[in-house]
Amino acid sequence: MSTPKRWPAAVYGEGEEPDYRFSLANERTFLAWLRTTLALIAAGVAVSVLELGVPEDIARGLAALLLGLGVISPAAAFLRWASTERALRHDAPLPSMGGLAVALTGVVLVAAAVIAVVVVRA
Amino acid sequence: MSEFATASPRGAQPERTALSWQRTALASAAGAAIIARHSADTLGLVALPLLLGTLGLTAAAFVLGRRRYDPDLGLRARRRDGRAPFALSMAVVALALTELLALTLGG
Repeated sequence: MSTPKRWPAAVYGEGEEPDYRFSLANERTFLAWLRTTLALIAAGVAVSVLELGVPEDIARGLAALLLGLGVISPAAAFLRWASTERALRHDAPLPSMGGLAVALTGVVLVAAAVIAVVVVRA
Repeated sequence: MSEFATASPRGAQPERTALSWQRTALASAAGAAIIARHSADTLGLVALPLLLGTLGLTAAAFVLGRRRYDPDLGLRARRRDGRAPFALSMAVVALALTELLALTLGG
């Protein structure tokens, strides 16, 4: 019986099967990133729909920023999942968070600042 | 190789992970419905194939996410690969792109 091929080969082509608990934790981390992305998209929709009392250009810019991050984050989350799984299979150090966490923190701080301005002006 | 690597997943870990798959897929499907409704005014009928495509990817991830933890040992190695993560990632990217498109065209 032939062994079924697993995709992507860049992850599963080499190395040994890691402790399954680490693989499952890696998947749950990936899924948590996706849910965080869904929250960012929801925030983008809310900013574009709700009347915040700030100039429209700022509201649209913030919405575009949140939605743009909603495009980038899932791709980054998948690449991060793949590189982590690959590192686990090679028993190598896990990859760093990279710029994604920094970018996400920056956007959340900008959104918080806009909300603070809205609340103070109200 | 770790002694756990050859053992079958047991305990609460597979169940917890399967539930995580399901709630993420359901949240994506709900998001797709809301965004399709919201962007329909701007995008018109274009929103429909985007919604159906996103729902299709979400459904694929839901099914693949469930099947990854099927007790059938013979197929487990095949099931737990990168297809389901990729499908769900693309579904969420499609969601964000749809709303971004509606925001851009909405003037």
